[in-house]
Amino acid sequence: MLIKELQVINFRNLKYMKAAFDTGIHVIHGGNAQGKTNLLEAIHLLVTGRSFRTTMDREMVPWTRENYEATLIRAQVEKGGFEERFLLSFNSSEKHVYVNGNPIPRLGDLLGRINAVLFTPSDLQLVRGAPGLRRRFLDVELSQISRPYLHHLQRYDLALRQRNALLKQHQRRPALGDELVAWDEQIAVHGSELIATRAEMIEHLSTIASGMYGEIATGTEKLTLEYKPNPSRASGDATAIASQMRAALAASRNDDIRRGATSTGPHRDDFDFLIDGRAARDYGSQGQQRSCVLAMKMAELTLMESSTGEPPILLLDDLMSELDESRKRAFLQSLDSRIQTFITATERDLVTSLVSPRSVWRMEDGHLTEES
Amino acid sequence: MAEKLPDPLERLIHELSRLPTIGKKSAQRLAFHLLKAPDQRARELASALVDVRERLRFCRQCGFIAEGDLCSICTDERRDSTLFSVVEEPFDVLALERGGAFKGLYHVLMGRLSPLQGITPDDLQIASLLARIDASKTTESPVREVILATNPNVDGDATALYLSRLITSRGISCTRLGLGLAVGSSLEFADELTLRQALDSRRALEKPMP
Ligand SMILES: Nc1ncnc2c1ncn2[C@@H]1O[C@H](COP(=O)(O)OP(=O)(O)OP(=O)(O)O)[C@@H](O)[C@H]1O
Ligand SMILES: [Mg+2]
Ligand SMILES: [Zn+2]
Repeated sequence: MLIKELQVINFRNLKYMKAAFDTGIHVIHGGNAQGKTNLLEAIHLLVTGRSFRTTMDREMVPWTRENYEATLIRAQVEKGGFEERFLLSFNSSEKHVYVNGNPIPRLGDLLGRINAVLFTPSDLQLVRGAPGLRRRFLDVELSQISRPYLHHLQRYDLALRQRNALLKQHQRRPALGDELVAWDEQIAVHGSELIATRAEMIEHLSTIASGMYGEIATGTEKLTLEYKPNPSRASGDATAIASQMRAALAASRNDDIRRGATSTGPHRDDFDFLIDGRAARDYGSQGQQRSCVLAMKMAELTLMESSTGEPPILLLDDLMSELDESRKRAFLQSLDSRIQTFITATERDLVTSLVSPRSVWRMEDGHLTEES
Repeated sequence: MAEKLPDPLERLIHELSRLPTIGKKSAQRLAFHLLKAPDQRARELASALVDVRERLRFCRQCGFIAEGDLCSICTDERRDSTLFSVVEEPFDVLALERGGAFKGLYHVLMGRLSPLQGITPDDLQIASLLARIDASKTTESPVREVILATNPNVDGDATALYLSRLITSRGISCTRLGLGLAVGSSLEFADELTLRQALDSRRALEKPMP
């Protein structure tokens, strides 16, 4: 996966930029608040259709709007030996995505076309934050590499909303039993596929991340990831999990009716980062937590490559301010030169003293210029 | 202040915007289009609207479009009245008829279960379906199989499941329309999901000897 050419017009403080890139490491440096993260955000918008910083598109529209009509992000991408053209345009009221000139009607259908792994300082929340963040991480990754997963995810989500709506009607219509069973079944069928896929993904991630963590941390501590499915004893293949879910849904039915919400299913899943068996959320230092996330992201990259047959793009925001010298060095030197990597840093030397980049760019007040 | 539109135009825009998928803007565009179009265009549209309402209705028995009390399928003696196909909308009958392979009768639900949209079993033609099945038991051609041909999505699947419990509890066999490969498609190019569904809904070509 390679972004060969990128054009960004009217995105936050970036007025106009156009640049060509090759494989290898690309350093974007500049002082605080110059637009480095904005650039990574723009690239990542082509991956998921959504910003990793905000849920509101209008925040990305430039504040000064003289002659402003729309924001454009355009990329020429090499994928599996083919070139594809991506165009995303939006303003405060509309948003459109085109691939090779054809409109993509649903944002969800953009996922999986450009594969990328993103690391930002706020990813620390993956270790520390609420379970919803970890589920969202799994969903975004799995949807990129598996169409069936995305299919079941969309259906599960609808079935869950339908069931919850029905539960809330209970007070007005007491005899819901048979209707509930019909939705329970949808939840079990699609939810079991999500659980089985997540379990498999986390097991793979754990094995690879453990190796990565060993490289970065250079100590003897060991990282493992532990899946905590809901229902908590879900195991086996999707068919087995589906029957466990049917039983769990039936068992919690009265509770669910009282609460007006579904208490069983992968929408209540979680996973833990364990360092030497102890939860990194509770016992890890900040640097250990960062290393956990970084190791997991690199594991994600390996998994993506093995399932799509091509290494994804790597976006690393502010990595240099996150880790100590030896962890930084170990990590940068582990980067594969076949992978197109964008790294932002406040000082050029922070990166170039440790690895030799393919290109170096300076970001100043929203303007990007290449340095030799 | 915006100028207020003449009453007849306001009314037309209002009526148009009540149609599904038509928003305020499209309604305005359509209304202005009709205003500009030749006189005859609007008259033809109006008479077509009235005609549809006066000449057509839904079949009293199955819910398909009918010119009289019953539709042309329900009155066709050659159809197999022991076999029902249950569909969501009258349109779906047309789709199955186009295939030409189904020789039984239909029952149109007029929708699908959707708690989010407040659609309950009482809002669908479910009681009438059960009544039809029950009534057939005392005739010489009782219903023997019901094919659930609701759409293969979450709502359609849930609706089918809900119905299947009601129908099988009456001792009548109940099947779901098979999902899978499109005719003429090749296995090589079928996506993962289609293949899995095709596998799940596979059936025996011939029953083994007892
Ligand atoms: N909608 C917008 N319109 C114009 N400017 C914006 C908009 N949103 C954010 N900005 C500006 O963009 C700048 C932030 O850019 P960005 O977050 O990319 O900084 P950065 O170079 O990554 O800095 P740091 O090193 O501190 O992370 C800020 O000056 C902010 O005011
Ligand atoms: Mg930044
Ligand atoms: Zn009829």
